[in-house]
Formats: sequence, C-alpha cells, structure tokens
Amino acid sequence: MKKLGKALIIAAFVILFILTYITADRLLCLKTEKGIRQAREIYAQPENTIDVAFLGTSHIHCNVNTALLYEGLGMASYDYSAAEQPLWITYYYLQELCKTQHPKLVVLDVFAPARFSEDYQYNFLLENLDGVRFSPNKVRMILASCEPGRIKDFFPSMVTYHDRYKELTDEDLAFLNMSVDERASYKGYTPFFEVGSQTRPDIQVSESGGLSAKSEEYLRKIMEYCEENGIELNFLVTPYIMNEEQVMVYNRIREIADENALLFLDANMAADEMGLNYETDFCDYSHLNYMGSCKFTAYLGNLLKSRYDIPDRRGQEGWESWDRHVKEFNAYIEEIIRQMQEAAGS
Amino acid sequence: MTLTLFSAGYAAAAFILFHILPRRIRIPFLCAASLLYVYVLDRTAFIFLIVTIPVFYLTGRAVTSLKEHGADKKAKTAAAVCIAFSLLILAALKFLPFFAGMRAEGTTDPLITKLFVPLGFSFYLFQAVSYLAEMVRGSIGQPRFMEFVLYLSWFPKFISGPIEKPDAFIGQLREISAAGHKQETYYTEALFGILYGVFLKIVIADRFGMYADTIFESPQAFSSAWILLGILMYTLQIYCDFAGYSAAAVGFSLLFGIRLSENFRTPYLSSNINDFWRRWHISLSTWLRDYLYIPLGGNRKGTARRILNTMIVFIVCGLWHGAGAGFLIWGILHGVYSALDYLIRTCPAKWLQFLRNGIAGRILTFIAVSFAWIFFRCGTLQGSSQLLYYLFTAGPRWHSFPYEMEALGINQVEYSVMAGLVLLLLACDIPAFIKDRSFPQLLSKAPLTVKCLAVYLLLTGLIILGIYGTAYTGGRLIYMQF
Repeated sequence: MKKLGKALIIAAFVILFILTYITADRLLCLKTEKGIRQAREIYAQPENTIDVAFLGTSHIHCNVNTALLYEGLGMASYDYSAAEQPLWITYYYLQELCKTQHPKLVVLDVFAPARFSEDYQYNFLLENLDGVRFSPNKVRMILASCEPGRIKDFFPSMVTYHDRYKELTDEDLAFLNMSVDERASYKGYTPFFEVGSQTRPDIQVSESGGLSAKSEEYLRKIMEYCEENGIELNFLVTPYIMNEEQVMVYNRIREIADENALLFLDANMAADEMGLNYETDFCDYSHLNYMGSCKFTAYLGNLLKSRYDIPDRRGQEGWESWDRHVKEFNAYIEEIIRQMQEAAGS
Repeated sequence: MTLTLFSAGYAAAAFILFHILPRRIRIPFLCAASLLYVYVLDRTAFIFLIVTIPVFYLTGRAVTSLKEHGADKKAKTAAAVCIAFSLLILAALKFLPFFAGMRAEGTTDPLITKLFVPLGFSFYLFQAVSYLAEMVRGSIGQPRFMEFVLYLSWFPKFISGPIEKPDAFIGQLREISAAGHKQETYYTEALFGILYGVFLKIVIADRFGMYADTIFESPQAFSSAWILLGILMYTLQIYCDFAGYSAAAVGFSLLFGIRLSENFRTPYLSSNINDFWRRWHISLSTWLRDYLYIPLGGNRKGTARRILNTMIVFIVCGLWHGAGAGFLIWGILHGVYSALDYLIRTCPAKWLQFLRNGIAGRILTFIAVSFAWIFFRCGTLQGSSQLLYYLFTAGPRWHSFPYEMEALGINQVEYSVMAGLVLLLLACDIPAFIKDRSFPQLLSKAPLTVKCLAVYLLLTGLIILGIYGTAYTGGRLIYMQF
C-alpha cells in the first residue's frame, strides 16, 4: 500500500506537470498571423472539408481572400501559408495538411524559390514552425530547415516563446478559452489595408535558370506527393513587383510544370484583365492590399472554377465554419472601414 | 563541466554506460570519459592536461621514492620545483598578456596578448599542488595512475572545481569499484543538486546578470538607485552562478557515487567576514589556508604577522582571479575586512561584537562583500572609479526610476519576478543555513510530496523563467574565465 501511495503521488505530480506545460504552452505561444495562426488553426478545421489549399508564402495569406472565394463561388479553401516559406517547409506542410484533409486542388505559390536562393532561411523560420504540432513530420521539417547547430534555437517551440509571460495580452488569455468552432472559422486570410503606390514592371526575359538545387528537389517532391495522393496541383505567381532574376526562376519552374502537364499561372500577366491598379491596389512592392486582393481573388477563383471540378459548398452540412468565416470577416471589414472613415473625418 | 545540453547529454550517456559496464572497468571508463569530455570541450586544455598529468604523477612518485630512501629534503625540493614551475606557467599565462596589452596600447597587439589560460587549468593545477604537498607531508599514499588522472580530469568538476583534496576524492574511487557499493542512494540528492544548480544559474544568475551588465557598462546612464540595484544584482549573480554550477557539479558527480566537496554554504547569511570565507568558494579558501596561509606561519607568529599573512593570502586570491587592478583591490579589501574582523573579535570592548554577530553583523558583512564585488566585476580601477563616482553623485532620481527600468527592459511583471526570486533564494538559503546542509541535501531528505512539489516547481520555473533561447546571448559561467 505504501508503494502504491508513493506511486500515486508521483503520478499526480507528473500529470500536474504535463497539464501545466500544456496550459503554459497555450498561454505563452505566439499568435501572429504571419504563419503561426494559419498553421495552428488547420487542426481546428473539420476533417476533409478543405477542397482547395493555397500553400506558400505571405503572397498567399495576404492576397487570397478565402471569404470571397466561399461567398462568391462556394469554394472551401484555406490559406495554409507562412512568411517567406521555402519549398522544403511547404513539402512538409502539405503532408501535415493531408493528415486531416484531402484537398482536390493544391495551389502552390512559387515566390519563395524565386526570391531566395539560400539553403537555410531563418528570417521567418519561427513563423513557419511554431504553429505546427510536434510529430515525426515536424521533426523532418526542422531537420530540413535548420543547420544542426541552430536546431536548439527553434526546438522545442517553447524555447522561442517561454519568456512571453512578461508581455501577455488579452488575446493570449482569450486564446486559452477559444472554442474549436471559433478557431475553425479562421481560414488563414489576413489582408493589409495600407496603400503603397507601385510602378508596373515591364520585364521581357526568356532565359530560365537560378532555381536552387534544394528548391527544385522539394518542388519535385511536392509534385510527386500530389500525384501519389490524387491531388491536382498548379503553380501560382501572385501580382507583385518582380525583377529579371526572379522571372528567370519562374521560367524554369514553368518548364518543369510543362514537363509534367501542370498549370503555371503568372497572375502578373493578367493584371489588366483583373483590373489591377498599381497605384491603389498594392500595400508594398510584394503584397496586394485588401482591394487588390479582392480583384486578384475574383480572377483566380473564376479561373480555378473553370478548370477544376471544385464543388460549391454553400449551404452544405459540415461546411458551417466557412459560413461563420464569411460573416465574421465581413463584420471585420465593416469595422475597418468605419475606423478608416472616422480617421479620415477627424 | 559547462551547464549546457551537450554536457547534460554527455553525463547521461556516461551514467548509462557506467552502470552497464563491469565494476572493474569503471575507473578506466570514467578516465576515458573525462579525458574525452575535455578534448571535445577544448583541445588546448586537453593538450595541457595530458602533458601535465604525467609530469605531476611522476613527480609524486619521485617524492614517494625519495622519502622511502630517507631523502626528505630532496623530496621536498622535487615537489617545490614542480609546484613553482607550474605556478610560474599559470602566472605567465594570466599576467603576461595583460601587461603586454598595457604596453602595446595604441599599437598592434603583440602575439603574447593572445596567450590565455586553458580551460580548467588553474583549478586542476591547484589540485596537483595539493597532491604534491600531501605527498611530501606523507598524508596520502601513492595513488594508481588512473586514479590520479581521474582526480585531475573528473569531468563534472573540470573547468571550475571544486578543488578537491586528493585523499577524499581518491578514496571514493576505490569504493565505487567495490562490490556492494550502492550509488543509487545518492540519486535523489543528485537529481536535486542538478535541478537546483541549473535553476540558480539559468533562472536567477543569468537574469540578474543581463541587467547588471547593462548598468556596469553604462553607469552614467543610470541614477544612484539603479546603480545600487545593479551592484546588488551582480552580488546575486555571482553567487547563483558559481553556487549553481557547484551544486550541479556535485549532483552530476553523485550520479557516479562520487561526492564532491560543498563549495558554498549560504555565504550571504554570514555574520562576519571570517564566517563568510568559511562559506564562500570553500575549496579555494581551504586550499589557500592549507598551502599558503599555514606555510607562511598562519596565526602562530603574533598579530602583526597574522594580519600580514592574511593580506598576502587575499592578494594572491585576488590576483588568481585576474590581472587587473580591480581584482587586486578586491583582494586587498577582503584582507582589510579580515584584519578588522580579527581586531574586533579580540578587542577588549565586548560591545563591539555586535558588528560581527546577529542581524547587524549579517547586514554589515553583506554590504562589505557587495562593495568589494564592485571592483571584482569592473576588473579595472578606471571602471570601478567611474561606477563609484556615479553611484555617489548621480542622485536617486526617483522620478526617472520607472523610465530607467523601462530602458533596462524590465516591466512590472519582470520586476515582480525578480523580487520573487530573491525571496525564493532566501527561502532556500535560510533552512539550509539553519540545518547546516545544502538545499539539495535537505530536499533529498524531505517527504515525498515535498520532493515532488520541488521537482515540479524547479522544472516549471526553469522552462518558463529560464534565460535561454535566441533572444538571449551569453549564459557563460563566470568562474570559467578564472
């Protein structure tokens, strides 16, 4: 009995420690919308409800309006992206997504391999890793993303945010009590509202090249994975102010896409068609603002709808989180507009 | 050993192998593990170690042989030559770069300034001196070569001690190879030693160190109030840093059934400076007493000679820490404190005894020690003078207290955490002081519920409050540089 009593005391404290760790992790974790929230809320999505997954960099979660896609076309989509996400992370994101979802189509933003050529990118690595749950897949993701000497800077995730107890906000406390439904109505889209006038580039480059070996390796892995799992795949370049070196990389990716009969869509070529205004529709050289993202999304949505068999989920049972998403997002936009009008009035 | 993930993993691997391997090869295994650890940590230190170990061992053998043949004087001479030569090398490595740097100021640094003391050298050199001195005195027998290798290189205490006496350490080595030895009895104390030590270092020392560094580096930017707090923070930093390291070293060593000597016994609760030096860096003060103070005559040659010997010991102690004037002043200050303490203790006016007893004694001792730390931390006369100048002239500037706090990166939450940690430290040190046991030892004897609660609090505190991650740099052990 004495031994049993001791074992129970020890077990009680082990459980207490685990609960404390889990609670502390939820309370202290970063909640940024540069990738962490996008990755975290994928686990709250109802299983097998995402028909179109947009993967890649901030060009996705800033430019692809998931509320518009659902409201206008009934497309159940998710912006499963993170800032400056390299293709090796996207590959593991894809596998993470397919643990609970089976999308019909994956749209892969290819800005990262064009913009960055280094084999290890640390600028926004935190935003790419922190939202993903621990699993063998995450371990492989970390090993592909970090040099061995730097792994301890990013794993376990608690290392990166354990000291946030000094700066907790109402948002952190609210997150502790957030229900699965509340989390599920988030679909990754986080628009910018600033206006930064840009000059439309005029680049005529036919040469191809500059795609790093590591990026190409993981691009092909993504293609292979989609084929093995019966997922349609296409490549996307969202509207932004590109340069010649990046166009050369896109030309190379287009060659790879053509070899495999995959669609390569450079939306910059359709700027006129979508009615994009370079003076008012950009936030900065790399991202559209809300107005621009709506124009781009409308164009993209119609194109995808015409090329792929994507069901209209409006009104269907099981897709209520998208209805809530549209309602909450529209309320959010109304609030933003009201604040902007007040600021302009004063 | 360093307090890093690598060291913890290394110790864990060594622990597992130690228990799997047959008892008869435990000593050779621990030798190999210790030498390999030093090699991985610092190759220069490894080279110094493998060159000096045979020199010291063979000198010890020569001393034994000479004594056996009745040539005591020659035995003493052999030991003295070896000791003197080694200390000369230590002094050269410590002081030549400093003086060469001073002379080369404004010009290209000469190569000599690139000299440095290899990791752990000054600590294991003192152990080697202890070994040779005890061989001459005849208080220990000739150890086996591997026992001697382990005595100098034992990895939990490599880098910053404790400075072990040969008889106590080597005696234990023979026990751990013996059948029936149960090192499991030490596991609980080992666990608490490691956890508590790492907590002191990573939660308290590194935290206070961050802010103390900023204040010491730019005292002109702070009010007297913050400079005073900075001094107090450093006082706590150096204690928790070194005591934490020592507690962890004792803990790691206990996993293998080897008990290292306690290096700290709640020194900041000392009632006088004499008491302080029986509680602070005990292994060093014991070494200085046994191999410098007593050979100089100790307290056997009158008051004046006693005070002189005390001053010499503390000056050497100061200079052992570093070549700068700050260390020298620190040593002189403690020499003066000790002399004053002796004079008060032996003074006919008994009413003065309150200065070295009770609450008053404790407060005075703490103030004296903290004041001396200013020079130790600054290292130079210029730095110390500058800090003291601003301490006494900047004024409290209470109105800017919150802004300076913000400039340091301390918000209300962090301030509360720091205050809480000071209270926690007191809550750990007071019972340890009363029971005259280390806090890990007290915990290991506590009821199971208290033990579990302690592990839970230490682990949770480490994870949430620890100073680690990319946002923080440094985290070095202060005493590694000595």
